Amino acid sequence: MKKNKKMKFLFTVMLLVSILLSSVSVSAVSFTHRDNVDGSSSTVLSGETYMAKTTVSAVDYNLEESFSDMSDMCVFGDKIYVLCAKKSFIAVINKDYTFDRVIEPVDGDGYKVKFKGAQGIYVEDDSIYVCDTNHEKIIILDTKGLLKEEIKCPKSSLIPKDFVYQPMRIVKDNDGYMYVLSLGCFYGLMTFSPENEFMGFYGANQVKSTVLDTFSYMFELLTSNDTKKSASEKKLPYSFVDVSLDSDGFITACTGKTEDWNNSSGQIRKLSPTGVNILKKKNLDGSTSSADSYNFLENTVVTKFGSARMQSFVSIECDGNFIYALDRTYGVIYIYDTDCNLVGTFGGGIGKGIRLGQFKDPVSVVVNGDDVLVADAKNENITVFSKTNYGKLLLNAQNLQLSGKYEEALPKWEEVLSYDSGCQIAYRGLALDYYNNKDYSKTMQYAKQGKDYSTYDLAYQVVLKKAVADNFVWIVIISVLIIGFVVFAVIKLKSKHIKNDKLSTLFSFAIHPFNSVSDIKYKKKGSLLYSSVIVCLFFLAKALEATASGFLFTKQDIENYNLFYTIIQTFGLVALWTVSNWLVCTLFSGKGTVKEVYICTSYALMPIVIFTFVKILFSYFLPLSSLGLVNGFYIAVLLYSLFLICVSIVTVHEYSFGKFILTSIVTVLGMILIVFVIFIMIILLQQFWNLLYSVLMEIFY
Amino acid sequence: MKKTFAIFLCIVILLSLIGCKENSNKIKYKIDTASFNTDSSLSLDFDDSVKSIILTDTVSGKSWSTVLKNAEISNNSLKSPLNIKVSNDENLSWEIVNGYDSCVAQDDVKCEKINNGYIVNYKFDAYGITVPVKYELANGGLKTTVMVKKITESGKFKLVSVSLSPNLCSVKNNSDDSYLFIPTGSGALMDVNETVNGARTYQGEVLGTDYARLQDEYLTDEETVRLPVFGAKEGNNSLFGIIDDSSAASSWLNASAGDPSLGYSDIYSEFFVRGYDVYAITSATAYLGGSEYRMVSDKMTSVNPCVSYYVLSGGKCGYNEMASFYRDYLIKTGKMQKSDLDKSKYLISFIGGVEVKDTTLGIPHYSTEVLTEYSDIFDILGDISKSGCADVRLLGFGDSGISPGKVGGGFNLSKIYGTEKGFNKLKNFCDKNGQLLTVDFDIVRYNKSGNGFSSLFDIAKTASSRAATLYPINPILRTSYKDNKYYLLSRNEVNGAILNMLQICNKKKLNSVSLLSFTEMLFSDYNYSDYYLRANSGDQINDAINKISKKGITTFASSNYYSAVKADALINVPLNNGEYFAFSKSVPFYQTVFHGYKPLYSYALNSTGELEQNALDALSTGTNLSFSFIGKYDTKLQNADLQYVDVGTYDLYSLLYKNNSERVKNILKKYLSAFEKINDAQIVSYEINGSVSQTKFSNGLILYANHSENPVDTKVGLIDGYSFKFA
Repeated sequence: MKKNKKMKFLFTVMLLVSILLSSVSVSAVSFTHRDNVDGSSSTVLSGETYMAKTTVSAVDYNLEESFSDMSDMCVFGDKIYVLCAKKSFIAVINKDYTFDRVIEPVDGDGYKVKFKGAQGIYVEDDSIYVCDTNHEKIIILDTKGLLKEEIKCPKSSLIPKDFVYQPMRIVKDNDGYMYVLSLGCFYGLMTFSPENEFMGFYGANQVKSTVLDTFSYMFELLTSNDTKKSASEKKLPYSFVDVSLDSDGFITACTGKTEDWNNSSGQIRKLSPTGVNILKKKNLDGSTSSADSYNFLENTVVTKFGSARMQSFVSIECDGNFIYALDRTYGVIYIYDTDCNLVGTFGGGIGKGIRLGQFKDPVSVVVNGDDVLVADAKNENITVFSKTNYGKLLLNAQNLQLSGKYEEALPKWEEVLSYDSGCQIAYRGLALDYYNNKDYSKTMQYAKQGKDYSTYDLAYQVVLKKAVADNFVWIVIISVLIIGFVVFAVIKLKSKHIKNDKLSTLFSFAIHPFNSVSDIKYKKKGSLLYSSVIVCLFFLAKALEATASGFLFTKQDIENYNLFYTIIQTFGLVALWTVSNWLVCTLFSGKGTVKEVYICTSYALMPIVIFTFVKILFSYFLPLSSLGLVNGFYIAVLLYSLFLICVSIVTVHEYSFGKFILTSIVTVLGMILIVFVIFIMIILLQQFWNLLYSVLMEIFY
Repeated sequence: MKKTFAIFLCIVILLSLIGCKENSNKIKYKIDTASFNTDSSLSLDFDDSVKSIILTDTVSGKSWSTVLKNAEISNNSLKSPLNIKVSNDENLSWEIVNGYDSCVAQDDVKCEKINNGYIVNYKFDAYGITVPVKYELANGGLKTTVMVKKITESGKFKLVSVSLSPNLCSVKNNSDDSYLFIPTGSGALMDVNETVNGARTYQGEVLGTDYARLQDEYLTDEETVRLPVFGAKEGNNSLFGIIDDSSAASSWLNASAGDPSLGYSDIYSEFFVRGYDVYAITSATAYLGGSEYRMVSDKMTSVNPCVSYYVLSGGKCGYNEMASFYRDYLIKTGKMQKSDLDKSKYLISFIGGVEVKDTTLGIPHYSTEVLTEYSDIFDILGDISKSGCADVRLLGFGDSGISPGKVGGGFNLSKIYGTEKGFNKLKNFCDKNGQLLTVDFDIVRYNKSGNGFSSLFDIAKTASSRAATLYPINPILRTSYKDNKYYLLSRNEVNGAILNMLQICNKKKLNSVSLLSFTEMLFSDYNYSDYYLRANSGDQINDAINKISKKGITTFASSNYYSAVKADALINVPLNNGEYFAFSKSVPFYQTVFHGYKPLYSYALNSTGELEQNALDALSTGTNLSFSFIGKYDTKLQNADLQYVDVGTYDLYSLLYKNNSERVKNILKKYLSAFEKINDAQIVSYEINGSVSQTKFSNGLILYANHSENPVDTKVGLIDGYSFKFA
C-alpha cells in the first residue's frame, strides 16, 4: 500500500512535470552578437553553424548501466572517453560513435576503484587521469583501467591551511606540466611538474572592484569594529570551472557563475605563462582591449517572475582558432574566435531539453573532428552536433582570415553571405580581403556594412591620398580662396562696426567675455531672441552630429536614434542649469536674474555650436587618425565654454570665484533634485494611466 | 399444465435474477454493419469485479481493457479506468486524482446498461465530483464519450480534465514488434522497451497550444500534434484511437513508454472540460517548475469529449495501416475531399514587408520595411520558373507586412509594394503560366482598429476574462516584447473578417487565398460559451473554407487537422516528428493520410541550414518543396528578425532570392521530375532501415532515399549521399 502511494505520488509528479515540460520547451536558436557603432552589442539571429544529428547513450550500446552522473568527456586519439561517476566507470566510444569498451578501474589487488562524484577526466598516451573530486585525489589509470597512482593534496607551504583539495578538471601542456582545477579554488590552477610535484598556483581570477567599492572599503576601515568585522564578508575572486589547452599551447580557462545580478565579464581567459590574460577583444576602430572587460554571455539578464536567470559557463574546449564554451543555464554553446568575435551559437533548452539539440543539464563540451559533443547529465546522453554547410563555410573562412590567408577567404565570405545576409564578420572579412586586393571602393562598402572603422579608414586614407594627389592644384586654389574669403569677411566686419548692440555683444562674447557680460547685465545688451537661436542651433548641431556625420565619426545607429534625448541634452540641460542656478544663487545672494543667466549661458555655448558644425563638415573628409586631434579640439572648446559660463555667473551674480564654485556644486545638486522630482511625477502619471487602463479593461472584459 | 408453467416461470425469473446479480453487465454486441469498417467484429464487456470495460476482437481473440488485470500488477495507476484533474477553489492548486484510489477502491463506480453499451458513473466522493462516461459500440469501434452535461460537482473542487481510459491503449513493455503511435509532426513511434535510461514520457496538446491561454510565453516552434489520433501496436494487433472532431482541440495526448515501475507503456487522451490561465507568483521561476497558479473558467465546455477506438489486427496493424485506415475513415465519413490542384508543384512564398524600428527626423517609430515588391516577384518568377512551375503565395503584403496591424492587413494589398498595375501584371503572368497566385490574409492577429474591427471591443477573452493579448517572442532571451503586443480577434468576428476578405478577393479577382494564422493559431474565446476550449474551431474553419469555395476560390491552409481535411492545399507540413527524446522513430503518417489527396507543402526549405537533406526528407515523405524569398535585405532587419516568430520563423537573413537562387535551382533540377512521378499516388508504406528509407506509392513506384552523406548500397544499386532512386 505504501508502495502504491509512492507510485501514485511519482505518477502525479511525472504528469505535472511533463505538463510543464511540454508547455515550455524551447527550440535551439542560433544567434550572434552584432557590434553597434556606439560600442554596445546586440544579439541577433544568425545562420545555424551546427545542427544536432543524433544522441548516443548507454541504451544505444546495450550497456547495463546508464550514463548517469556523467560529468566530463575527453577526446584522445580516435576515442572519446566518457566519465560516468555514479557507477564509477568510463565508457569509451570510437570516433564514429560506435562502442569500444567500458573501463571499470581496479587496483592492484583487483578491487574496484570507486570514484562517485568524480568531475573530470583527462587522457594521454598511456594514462587516464580521473579527478575524484569527492575523495580529494586524482586517480591515474592505465588504458586497461588498472590503478597506477593517486595524487592527493600536495604538502607545500604554498597551499593555505584552510585549502580544500577537490580536483575537478585536469589538463596537461605540451611540456608535460599538469594544471589541476580544484573545486571552488580561487587561487587559480594548481600546477604540477611532469614528475607530479606541486609547483604553485597559476592564473587566478582577480576581484573586480569599482570606485564605489573602494569608497565602501575605506568607509568600512574607518568605521570598523569587532562586531562589524565578524559580520563582514570577504570578497573573493570567482573560480574557474574548466580549462583547455589551445593549439598554441596556451591554457584557456572559463569562469562559471560570476555576479549575482548580471552576467559580468571576462568569463573566458587565455593565460600567458605568467598567468596574465592575453585574450584581446578587437574593437571597431582596430584597437584592442583586454577580454577581462568583455562579456562573453548576454548583456541582458533574463528576469522571469522577479527572479534573474544568470548564465554561467560550465565547460570549455579549444579547437584551432575557436573556443567552444558551454553555458549551463541556457544550454547554449558559444563559439568564439581568438579575437573574441562570437562566430555562432547552438544548443538550447534552458534546462528543459526534451528534444534533439536541447539540454536539461549540459555538463561538458568536446570537439571530435568536425563534430561537437555535449554531455547532458540529466538526459544521460551525448548529443552529436555536426557542422552545417553554413557552419563549415563560416568557420573555414574565419580560420583563413585569422591565419592571414585573405585570398582564400574571400570567396568563402561571399558564400557565407549567401546564407546569412546579416553576418557582420563576413562583411568585415570581405572588407579586409578586398583591401588586400587593393579594391578600395569595395573595401569601404563592406567595411561600412560590417561597421569596421579601421579597415574603412585604411582604404579611405589611400583613396584620400590619391584624391589629394590627383587634385592638388584645385585643392590649393579652393583652400586659398576660402581662407581669403574668411579673412576678408573678418576684416570687413571689424571695419564696419555692427550697429545692432545686441548682435555686437553676441559676437564679442567669446572674445571679450567680461565686458560682454557686463554689457548684458548693466546695459541690457543681451537678447532673448539671439540666445534662443543659439540654443536651437546647439540642438541642431547635436542632432546633426548624431545622425549626419561622416561614417568614421558616427557614434550612433540612426535607426536607434531618438531625438527626445537630444532635446533633453540641449534644451533640457540649458533650462535646467538656468532655473537651478537662479534658484540656488537667489538663496546665495546672487544678483542675477533668470533672463541674464539664460542669455549668458546660451552665449557661452557659441564656441561649441560653431565647433560642432565644423566638425560635422570635416567628418566627411578626415581620416580616423585625426579623431584624437578633433577630440582634443573639442575638449579645448568645451573648457572654453565652461570658462565663459564661469565668467558669466561670476559677473552676473557678482560673486567671487570661490562662491561661484560653491554655487555651481549646489546648482548641479539642484539639477539632480529637479530631475528626480520630474521622474517621480512621470512615474506617478504613468501609474495613474495604468490604473485608468486597467479599470477600463476590467469594465470591458 | 398450470403448475408446470408456474414452475417454468419461477425458474426463468430466478435465472434472470441470478443473471442480474452475477452477470448483469456481461453482454455482447455484433457490430453495426452500416459503419465504414464493415469487417469489424467486436464485443464489449463490463467486468464488474475491477470496473473494467473490455473490448474484444472476436476474430483474433485479442482483448483491450480499461483496467489491466494481471496477477503481477500492483500499481494503482494501471487499475484506474479514468483519472481526473481537479482545481481546488480555495488555493487554486491542481491535483491529479487517480480513478482507482478515489473511485474503484471506494466502490463508487456504477454501471448502467444501454442499448449498445454501458454508461459508467465514476463518483469521486472525496472531491464531490461524478463523471459519467458512455461506452458504446458504434461505427465499427468502441466509442467512449464523457457526458459533460451530466457531470456533477459539489464542494470546493472544480473538474478540469478527464483522462479517459488511460490503460486501454497499452502495451506490455518489451513486447516484440510493438510501439505506441503519436501523430506529433509527421508522426512518431515510441519504443516500448525498458532501458537503463528509464521511462520516456510525452505530452502534447492536440492541434497546438491554445493561443488565448494566458501563460508565460516561450518560443515554441516545437512540432505539435497535428491530427487527433493515436494508437498502440502489440504484435499482430493494434488499437487505434480517433478523437472526435468536436473535442479534438480540447484534448491532450499523454504517452509513457518503457517505465519499469509500471511494466506497461500506454497512450491516452486527456480531455479538458475547463479552460485555464496560468499566473506566476513573483520571485519564483515558474518556467523552471517554480510557483504558479492556474485559474480555471467558471463554466465547463458544452462539448462532450469523445474518442473512438478501432481494432486493427491480422498483421495489418502497423502505422502504415493505421494511416490508410484513417484516410479511409476520413473519406468514407465525408470529412475529407480530394483537391483538384496539381500535386507535383512546388510553392514559393514571398514576404512583402515587416515592421521595423525606424526614425523620422529623430522621432522613433515603427514603419513597414518593404522586403519584396511586385516587380521583384515578377523578375524572380521569370528566373526561377525556367526550373519548373511553382504556385506563388504572397505573405504580408498588407499595411504592416507580416507584423500584426489591422485585421487582414487592412484587407488590401498595400501600394508600398507596387502599383495595382504591377500586381495585375504579376497576376496575369501567373495565370498565363498556370501558376496559382495566393494571397495570405492574417485575420486573427491584430493591434490596430480598422475595417470595422476594434482593438478595444473585438478582442477574444481568456479563461479568466482577460483580453487575449500576445507578445512577439525574442527567441534568444526567451522574453516577450511587451511594447509590441497584439490581440486575437474575437471568434464571433471571424465570420465578418472572412466576408471582408472575400470582398477584396472579388475586387482584385483573386482566385486563391491563404489563411495560415487563422488555421494554425487555434484559440478559445471565453466571451461566448460556444468557443470555450477552442470548441467549434473545426466548424468555423469548415464554414470559412466553404464560403471561400463557393466563390470559386481555392484555399491554402495550415496542416492542422481541421483545415487539413477541408483546404485545397496544405502549407507548413512537418517533415519529422519534432525529434523528441521520447520518440524512437519518425514516420510520415501525416503524408500517408493526405498524399495524393491534397498538395502538401513543407516549411520553407531555404530557411533551414540543410537544404539538401531537407529536400530529400520532403521527397521521401511525399511532401512538396516550398521556399520563401524576399527581394531586398538590410541589416536593420536583424531587429525585425527577433520579433515575428510566432507563426513560423522568418529567418529573414537567409531569404534573399539572389543569394538562394543557384542552390534552389539545383534542388529543383534534382527533385521536380521525381515529384511529378508521384503526383497523385498515395503512400502505401514507409520504412526506414539505417539511413535508407523506402517509400512505396500506390502507382507501384518505390522510392529509395539515402539520408546519409555517404553512398549506400541498396536493392536498387548504389545510392549517393543525400540522393534517391526509384524502383
